[in-house]
Amino acid sequence: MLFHLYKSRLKCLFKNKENIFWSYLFPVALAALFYFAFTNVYSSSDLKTINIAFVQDVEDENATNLMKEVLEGAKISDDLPLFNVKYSDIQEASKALEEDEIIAYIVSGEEAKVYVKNNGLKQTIVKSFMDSYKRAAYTIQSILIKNPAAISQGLLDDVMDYKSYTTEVKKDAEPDVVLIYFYSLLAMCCLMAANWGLEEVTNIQGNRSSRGARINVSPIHKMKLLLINMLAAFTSHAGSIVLVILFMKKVLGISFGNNLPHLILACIVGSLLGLFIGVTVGVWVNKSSGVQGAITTSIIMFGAFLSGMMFVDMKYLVAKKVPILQYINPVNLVSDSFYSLYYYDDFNRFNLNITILLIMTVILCVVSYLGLRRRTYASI
Amino acid sequence: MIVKVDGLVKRYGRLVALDYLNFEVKEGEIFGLLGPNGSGKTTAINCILSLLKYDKGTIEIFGKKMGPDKYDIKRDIGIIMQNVAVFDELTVYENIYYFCSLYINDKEKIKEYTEEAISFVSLEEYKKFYPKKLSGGLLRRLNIACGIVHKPKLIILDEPTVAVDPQSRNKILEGIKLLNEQGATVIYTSHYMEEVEQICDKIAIIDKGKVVAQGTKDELKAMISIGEKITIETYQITEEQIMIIRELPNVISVIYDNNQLEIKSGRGKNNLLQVLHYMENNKIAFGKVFTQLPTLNDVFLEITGKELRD
Ligand SMILES: Nc1ncnc2c1ncn2[C@@H]1O[C@H](COP(=O)(O)OP(=O)(O)O)[C@@H](O)[C@H]1O
Ligand SMILES: [Mg+2]
Repeated sequence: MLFHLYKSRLKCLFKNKENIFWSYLFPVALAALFYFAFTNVYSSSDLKTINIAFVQDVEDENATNLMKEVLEGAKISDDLPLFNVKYSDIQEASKALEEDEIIAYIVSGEEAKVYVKNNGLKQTIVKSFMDSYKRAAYTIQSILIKNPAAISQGLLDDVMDYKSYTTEVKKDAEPDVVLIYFYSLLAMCCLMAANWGLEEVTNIQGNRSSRGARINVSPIHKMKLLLINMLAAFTSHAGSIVLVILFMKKVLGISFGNNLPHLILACIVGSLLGLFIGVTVGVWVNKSSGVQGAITTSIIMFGAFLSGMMFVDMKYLVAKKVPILQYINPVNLVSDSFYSLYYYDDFNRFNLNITILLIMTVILCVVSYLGLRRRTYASI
Repeated sequence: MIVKVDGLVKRYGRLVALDYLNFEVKEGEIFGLLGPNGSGKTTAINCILSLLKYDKGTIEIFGKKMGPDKYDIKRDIGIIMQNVAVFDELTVYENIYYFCSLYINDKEKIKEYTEEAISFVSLEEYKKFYPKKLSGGLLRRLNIACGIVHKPKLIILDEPTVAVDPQSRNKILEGIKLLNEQGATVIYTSHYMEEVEQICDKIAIIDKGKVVAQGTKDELKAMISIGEKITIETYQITEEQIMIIRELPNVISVIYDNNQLEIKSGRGKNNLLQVLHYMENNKIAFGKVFTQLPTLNDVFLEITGKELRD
């Protein structure tokens, strides 16, 4: 019977036109709007030569020399190099990075590594340049293994055509700032699960609707039914997130990196937290449904604003002035998770974000359980 | 005892909605809770169902103390609230099925009960309809079906006939009687005395959160001094003549309004005859004459000093 209750609830959700509009059409429309608004703004920005440092790994000289050559050869235009490369040791480089003299430093080696301090357009360019380089280097290696003579046949120039690459980088990199907008938007969509949470908890409370009253006098355990209904809501919500991601990725060509499982994990955790934000508001804010809805939406929208969805500098501003906000703003935590998947090779930052999100979810879960348990209403 | 309410007090801030309310409902009864709007009927029902916190008193259902987590008690209760409580996104059939499945686990049994409930409220032709497409009366019937589909032992109906056309109202009242005959105990709240008179075995009249009188309808009528109400149509009676009628033995009150002379008199014989004699002797022409037994409205009027319906 539990499955039937789940199915019925799912049907209710999908038959509700308002739900479908807000959770399915609205985010897609917003993403499209962002796309048209931002791609134009950012394609007009100029690119300047980027200061970087290069730390040489003595053990693998061949690879190092190749990389050096490539870095120096990259150009924005015929007379403007893409990078201004300083050669130094690792202490110097990290000091320079700390003091903002350089944007990034690269340590060559078996697997070249890029170190950056902040996120931004220039950092993105360095990073995606190196990504591209790594791919190219790999291709070269595999060709050379099969056909060692190829090197003398101009292979290097073919594979790593840096002149054309710079224009490509430019094209590639510009939407990367726009990425912040889209990541925030996606994060917001995840957290908008709050509306579902609120709706489900409202549905089940005896003092909110006569249907709730009827459910409350039935012998089904309230917490059990709430879980079933939230599961149904979560199913519908997950559908909307998949739709938004597909739309952004396939139609708008937004990159989400290559780490699909982690991306999904971040979406799930973000949505769960959203769900429980709504439940908590529904349980603890003793106001009309309208007010509860407004509070929930405001929390999410404000979070989205702080995480840079409306204008991107906000994110950096928050990071600088009130860094703690980054770690308690759920929208920022989720968008930053997407972000760190794209920017960083390791998962430290991603894991931190996800951990904080999970802790928040558990806290809200407990808080709303305490509120719901054995509740009889003071006033209907 | 199916339901026992003892010294129930409920305050909304400074407003006392229930003021030491007491009543008992025996097995097999249709128990009427009659009172004007705002007298506390819905509040009482919500307290009984543990939907509402109350300040004082005890509530027992099926001989056990009621509480929000008394699932075994809840299993045998069916409620039909004043507001229609169904899902707009589910069809008639699905709604009834859904509410049944909150009570029962066996799929075959749910199907069977759902069909039975549908035919009980005669909604067979509307199975696939969504609630939005149903008229007011049909919607009420759906609401009732959702409340009784699990065959509860105790059915509580809170003003189920408000804003319902007379035809549907009769169907609903007949349905309640039928459910009662099939063994269910019923609590029925209303501010329509006719309905309560028509179906209830036992009635508690409540006003301002207190039971002001209770008993069978005959017991209630016996409580008050008025034995019968005589109405005479006349066009030419004087003030003095009315005064004289007022002084006749056993007459309690006389009102002359709109060419209708309304005389309330105590229990006894010859009440009508003496008035008609007086009219004849004094050559007062009169038209239609009729007498009525007192209604619950008179009971309410005498006890509280105001009309049941305003
Ligand atoms: N949620 C509430 N807050 C404050 N007062 C209420 C509330 N609900 C009902 N009341 C008041 O309690 C009294 C009883 O109301 P109610 O039980 O709805 O009466 P009935 O059902 O008999 O019409 C009324 O005076 C009403 O105004
Ligand atoms: Mg009421």
